[in-house]
Amino acid sequence: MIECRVDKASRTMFCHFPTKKMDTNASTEADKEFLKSFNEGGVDKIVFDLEGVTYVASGFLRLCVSAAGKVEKGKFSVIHTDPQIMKVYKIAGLDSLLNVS
Amino acid sequence: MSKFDEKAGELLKNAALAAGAFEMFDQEKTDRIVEEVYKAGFDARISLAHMACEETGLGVFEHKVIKNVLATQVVYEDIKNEKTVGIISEDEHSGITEIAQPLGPVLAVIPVTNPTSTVMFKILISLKTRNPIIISPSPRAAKCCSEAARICYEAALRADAPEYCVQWIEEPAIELTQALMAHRGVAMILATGGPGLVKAAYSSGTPALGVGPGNVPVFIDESADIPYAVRTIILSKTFDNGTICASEQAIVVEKKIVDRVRSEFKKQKCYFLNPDETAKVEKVAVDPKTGLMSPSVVGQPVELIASLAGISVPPETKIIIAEQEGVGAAYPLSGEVLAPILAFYVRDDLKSAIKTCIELNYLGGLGHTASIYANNDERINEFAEIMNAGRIVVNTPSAQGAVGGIFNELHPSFTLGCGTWGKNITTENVTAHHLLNIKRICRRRDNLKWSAFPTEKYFDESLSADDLLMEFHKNY
Repeated sequence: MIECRVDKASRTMFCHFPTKKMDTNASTEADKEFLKSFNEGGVDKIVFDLEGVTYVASGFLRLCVSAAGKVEKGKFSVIHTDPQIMKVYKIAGLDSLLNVS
Repeated sequence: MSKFDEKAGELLKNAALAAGAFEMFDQEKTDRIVEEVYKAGFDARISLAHMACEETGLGVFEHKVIKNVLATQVVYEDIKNEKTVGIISEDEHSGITEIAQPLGPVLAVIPVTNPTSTVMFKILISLKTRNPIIISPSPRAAKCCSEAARICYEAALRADAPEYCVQWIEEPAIELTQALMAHRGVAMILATGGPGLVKAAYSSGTPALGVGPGNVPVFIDESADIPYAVRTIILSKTFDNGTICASEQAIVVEKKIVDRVRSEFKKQKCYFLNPDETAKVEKVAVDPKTGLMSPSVVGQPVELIASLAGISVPPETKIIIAEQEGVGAAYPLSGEVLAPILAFYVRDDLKSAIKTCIELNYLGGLGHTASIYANNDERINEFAEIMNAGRIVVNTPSAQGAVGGIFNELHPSFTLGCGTWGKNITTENVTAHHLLNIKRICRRRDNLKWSAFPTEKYFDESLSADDLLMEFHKNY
């Protein structure tokens, strides 16, 4: 599950993930929801807030990469990662590309 | 053929003679040689430390002595009872007998930071495994390394070791080292040194045991005994002026204990740089072109570093500490500097602190060493689980702790494997057993399940894996 809200002033989309475990199914659902929200337009910057997320499947990494591809380089970021999740991004070589912190 | 190829050929021809002669040696004779060599090296610990200090201009004389003791006495105690010749294990139940064989000539590359100790360590583990060894020292430590090798060689000969079992290069040249690395007569390279050298060893086509660079993060948990932690960190980071690659590089603490940690460091004569001083130290400690530590500060005392940087520090300052915001190229002191300089990070909470340790670990110390001070097993395990380090030292000076043999039961070693994270093939402390080819006699012990199983059933496509597995284990 994903919850997205757009801050119109900064044209930034903030996404939260109340489903703490972003497994393959949850990531597939999140992908659909994300696209729906994004396609409504008005977004230059995307922030995935992973506060509370304890598990990410490869499908979620794919979602991050695909989301990052929808905005200009450097305008996508992943924040509030758990240390273990941060390591997943590092091992996958995505930490710089996706601005993970 | 270049003169370097010729020289390499000559050294390897001699080494091959020694390797042949070594084949005839039994465990007793081998152990006698090792004992004689260890004693000779140990007896020369002080003179060799003097030579190393004078020639390299790095480190602290007393600490070089201790390193020489570690490399001889402590290593000897660790390997003396190990079986390294002939049958080393027999298991009647499995029918497997292990037989140890030497590898053949070993090429030992020696760093300037720990010269004589690394020479003696590598000679001991090579002779214990009946491998001839060729010492290729750093050009900045050629004399002291040659002397250490000579002392060991003469002792080995006194114990009837083969001629040429220890050889050394008195006038090192990169071209000669490269020629030796690529020579088909070399069985194994023991590469201790900078990343370029280790990469050259791995690229040569000859099997190599190398090391990776360190960038040791130290996490001081709220459960830690802070005065003890600070005292121990100072003991480690000042040891030989920080030349051991497992020495602490960055301290990471949570905001809630930072005042206590900071005041303890100050109380124990460490100096926190202000931003202006930090910028000055960065300039002398890190080469801006490469982003790597500058040789001019490696193994130097605080006073000299301060003077190079044009800052003044209180008398008897043990370590200078630079507070850092982030990790990476924009923060030069977040990388490895083998000198009494520490980076210092304050983080809002535990998660952020651990993430900073991961960042430091990934910046350039993958696979090497990480350190934690805590009195909470759950926290220690959590930290260890997440750090990519061959050694996670707990409430221990990381320099001496990672080297092993004094503060823990790790094999004492001057070659610390960093696993594939550091482009190495092992995460272990390299020691004698890494220098053996182990053959296995496999006596027949039938797998009774396999014998009883009607193997024609494997050709029946209607049977599933579960069906076949049930049949395979039937009646057991």
